[in-house]
Parts: sequence; structure tokens; C-alpha cells
Amino acid sequence: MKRSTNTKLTVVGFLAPAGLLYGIFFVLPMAQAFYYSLFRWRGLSQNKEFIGLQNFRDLANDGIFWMAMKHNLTFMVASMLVIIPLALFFAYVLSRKVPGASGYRAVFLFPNVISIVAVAVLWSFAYNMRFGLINAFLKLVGLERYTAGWLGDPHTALPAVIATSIWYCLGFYIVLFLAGIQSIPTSFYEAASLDGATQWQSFRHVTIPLVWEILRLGVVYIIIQTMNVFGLVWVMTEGGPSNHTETMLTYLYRKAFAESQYGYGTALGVVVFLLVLTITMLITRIMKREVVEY
Amino acid sequence: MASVLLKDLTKTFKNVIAVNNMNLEIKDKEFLVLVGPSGCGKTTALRMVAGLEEATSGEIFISDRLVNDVSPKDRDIAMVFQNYALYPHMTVYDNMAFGLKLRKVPKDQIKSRVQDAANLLGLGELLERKPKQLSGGQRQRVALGRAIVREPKVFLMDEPLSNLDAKLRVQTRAELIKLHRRLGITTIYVTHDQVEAMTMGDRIVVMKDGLVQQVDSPMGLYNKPVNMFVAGFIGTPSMNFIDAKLVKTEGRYTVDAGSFKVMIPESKTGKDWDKYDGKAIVFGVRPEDIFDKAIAMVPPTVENTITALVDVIEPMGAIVTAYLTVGDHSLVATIDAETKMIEEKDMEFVLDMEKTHVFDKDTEQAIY
Repeated sequence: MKRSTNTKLTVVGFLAPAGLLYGIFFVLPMAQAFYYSLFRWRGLSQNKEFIGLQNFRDLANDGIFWMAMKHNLTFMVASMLVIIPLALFFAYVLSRKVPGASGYRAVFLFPNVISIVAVAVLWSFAYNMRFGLINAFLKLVGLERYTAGWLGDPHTALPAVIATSIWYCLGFYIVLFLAGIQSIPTSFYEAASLDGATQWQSFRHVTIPLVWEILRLGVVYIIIQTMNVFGLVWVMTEGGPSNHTETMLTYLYRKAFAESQYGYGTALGVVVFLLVLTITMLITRIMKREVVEY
Repeated sequence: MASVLLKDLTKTFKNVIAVNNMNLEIKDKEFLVLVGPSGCGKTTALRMVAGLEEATSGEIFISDRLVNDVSPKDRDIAMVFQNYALYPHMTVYDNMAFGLKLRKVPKDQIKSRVQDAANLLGLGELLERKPKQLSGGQRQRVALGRAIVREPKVFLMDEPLSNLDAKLRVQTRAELIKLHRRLGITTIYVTHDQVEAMTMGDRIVVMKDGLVQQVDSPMGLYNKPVNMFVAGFIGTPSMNFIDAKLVKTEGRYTVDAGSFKVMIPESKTGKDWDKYDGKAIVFGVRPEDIFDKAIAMVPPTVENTITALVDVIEPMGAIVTAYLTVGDHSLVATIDAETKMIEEKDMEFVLDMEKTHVFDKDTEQAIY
């Protein structure tokens, strides 16, 4: 009995510092956020007016909030539909010992090492209607009718930002999936080959099931990233034109820091947190499979 | 008919010749074993037959069909891997059925073939389990079952017993032999264990450094090894090799090892032996062909008796392994447990000279 208590105390002792840091820098701010969301507060003064759940009621009736959420969900779905298959495909190809594979890996990962702000600025230039690379290229290849205002056009602004985001993130997911695929023993593929599997059948029946956990992790990362997208959007469009690229966090930023509605902004933050938590838990549950050991 | 023919088969990895000009014919229904130390090329040769490695040069025929450019799935072969390579996310049933499903075999046929193989291998109760829920021996049987359901022309087995414990290995060896007899499928079996090779193969191919050293029946290899490598590789404990000189006196050949002399029986010598008169040779005698003089199976004479110091005795039950010293030479002998040997005492031992071997010291080839 004494030994068990000692062991428990030792465990608690080792966990305490990390637990304390986690509590101070994560749990406490979270709790504070919940607290401040119940107030009307301009942020600069000590005066806070307790309004209960009014901020959340206002959010529920806020058309821009719903539009922003829709944009985030669009971001999320589009990213998942493009990134997951593309990253898996490239990771699978790279895992087959293509000549120059390490070079390709570096090229794919390169965007990810650049600052998101730099990426946003570069792509803003590329999308420029008058002197941007994209319109210039389209004109060059005789596709002038597809030129557009891009970031200045309400119809094309969100797709343009999403495309930039996908370009930025793709390399990370390729490397993530590649690590998973490379951990699969070659003998499984050889056995599948002898069983009569084509490359596609090997991919479907061997690769996908054995990297499922990594895939699930990738999907969760995408959800978190896209639901929390801010920097890229803010630098490229600031949520415009006319809120057509507004996301929940750009709207939060605007409400809290531009319009000094800290209570409202915090409430929005709480909603984003709960939404992301709910979606990730749902996806984790839906994608849950028996852990494969080999 | 499911014969396999390897013609001038070579495989090179960068500057390393893994398989060097291999010529081999495996007959229909034969159980052929490729044996040799790690890196000798046996697995590479097997993988080339499977189509998992591309031959650098040479030809591979399966049932008289050239298969060099035929993909593994179309060669009508099945393979059992060293680590079994069972799909961890599939049940035993699905593992065995996978190849048949890909070939669009009707469901009822799949069920029947899988069930038959499962019954044959004692896997009937395990069909819904996943590989991680099976023991090593069970996984091995599933790997076999997966190969059997394919009804291939040739089985390829890459050290399938190496991951099993010693007792299970012995048991499974016997089961594999029975299975082969029952199914009658041409089998190429790779192992580094010479005991497995000797007990299982109809014929054995001994390989070293990519080269085929000798192809023969187990007893052929044991009784008439072509060189020192084969002689030392086959048999446990290994053959004793003693540097000596061959001296011809009055038509008879004496092996002069300095600390002892023995005479080769006339029946073992031939015309070729003359060129070795006075030359350095290597004298080979197996541990089981050395007897305690007091209880020798072979009549002791002055031509076959040596005196040795008994260093260490290891009782092994029915036999005793004795480590002997004769002058500068160390010998290992396996003596009947009835012996009254005492450690650190000189004793007389009889060599069964009919079963000894003489090798050319330079080429290491056996002199017959």
C-alpha cells in the first residue's frame, strides 16, 4: 500500500511542472475566455458589464458570423477534398523510390518553411488583376476569358485564398503521410503483388488501411487549421471584399481589436473552440478503426 | 508439370554479385532446398524466381515458360515470407481469401478453398482472428494457408521457420514435409540451417558468395562433399579439419599431421592421388566418425588409432561431445555416452577412415 502511494506521489511529482504550465498557459486562459464572454467589455477599461449569455444570443443572430462560419466550413471541406487525396498520392509515389525523391520532398515542403505572411503577400501579388502572374499566364496561353479580379472579386476571392492555403499546407501532409507509408514493411506489398494486386489495389487494400491512423490525424490537423485560419486571410483580403472571405477568426479580430468589443469577440472565440472540438471529436469517432499492429 | 529452370542466372547490386551464373533445374514435385550462410545469394535467387527481383542476366523458366518479363502475379507461384507478411488489418479468412478475391474467384469457391486449407492446417477455429491474436506457429500456418489456397504450380519459402522457437521449428518441419507429400507441389525452400536442409530436402543446393557449391541429395552432400566449405557446412558439429601432409609409402597413403599419422584405406584412393604425394593437404574427419577405442564400432588398428588429450566433456544425453587436443590440433568428437572418458587424461581414439576426407590445401577441393 505504502509503495503504491509512493509511486503515485512520484508520478504526480513528475507531472506537476508540466501540469502547472499547461494550467497557466492553456486552462486558465480558456477559463478566462469563458468568463469574459459573459460580459460587455471594451477591453481598455476595468468596467465590465455582466450580460450573461447575451453575447451568444447576439452571435446567433449575427449574419456575418454565420457567413464566416460557412466560409470556414468551405475552407475545411475543400482542403480535405484536395489535400488528403493529393498528399496521399504524392506520398505513395515518393515512397516507391522515384529517382530524385529527396529533391521532390524538399520542393513539396518548401512552402511550409516560409512565413505565412510572406506567402500571403507573394500570392497577393500573383493574384493582382493588372500585373499579377496568374492573369498574365492565362493571357499568355490564350485563356484570357478566365482572367478575373481574384482577391477583389467576391466570386473568386474565397477560392483564391483556399487555393493558396492548400498550396502552403500540402507539403506538410505529404511528409506526414510519407512517414506513415514508409513505416509499412515492403513485404506486405510483395505479398500483395504475389496475390495479384495491381498498384491501385495495393494502395487501396494495403496502404490506406495501414496509414489510417495517420490519415485520421491529418484530417484532424486540417480541421483545426482551417477552422482557425487567420493570418493568410487577413494579409490577403482582411476578410473582404464585402466579407466574402471573412472567417470566424478574422471576424473575431475585427470585433475585439478593431471595434473594441472584447466580450463579443471572446464569445466568438468560445464558439470557435466548441465548434472545433465538436467536429474533431465527431470525425475522430467516425474514422475510428481498430489499431493495427505489425 | 511444374519444373523450374534457372539458366546462367546472375544478379548484381551495384558492384556486388549476389547470384553468380546460377544453373539449376528443379524437377516437378521436388522439394529443393537452397542453403548457405547469410549473404550467399539464396534469398536473392528465390526472389528472382518469384519476380520480386529482376535478373541482371540469365533466364528463368517455370513449366517451360520463360518468365523473366512476367509479373509475379502471373507466374503461378505462391510464397511464404520469413516474417509471414500477413496483412495485419485482415482476419485469417481474409488473408487467405485476398488473392482469390483479386482474381475474381466466385465467393462460394473462395469459401470452400479457404475452408479446405484451414482444415488441413488446423486453422478452422481461427478464421475470424487477426494476425496479432495468433501465436508464431499459427501465423506461420496462415501464411502457408494463404499460399495453398492459390493452388500454385510452385511454392517458394523464404526461411519460414526462422522466427519459431526450436521446439516448434522441429514440429513444423515434420508438418511441412507431410504437407509436401500430400500436396505434391514443387517447392523451393530457402534456409540457413543445415539441419533443416538435411531433413527436408529431396536435393540441397549449397551456396556461398553467390556461387553454387554443390547440388546433391542430403546423404550425397554428407558423404561426398566436393569442397571444404560444403564439408564444413553440412553436419553438426562441423567436420574437423587438420592441416597435414600426404605421404605415399609402398602404394598406401598416409596422412601425416605431425602429432599423429593415419592411413587412408586403399578403396578410397585413386590415380589422382599421386600428384599429392608429399604435398600439404587438409584432412577432414567428422566428430561422429571418432570413437573411444574401448567401445569403438570400428576395429582399432595402428592405421586408424590416435592418442589425444581429453580437454572438455559435454554430456548431451545419448552422446557426449568431447573436445580433444592432439599436439597442435584441436578436434571435436561425439562419443557414445557409454564412454569412460575422463577430462585432462590421454586416451586412444579410433577414426573410421572409410568416412574421412582429404582436401587440396590450395583449392579446398575434395580429393576422390
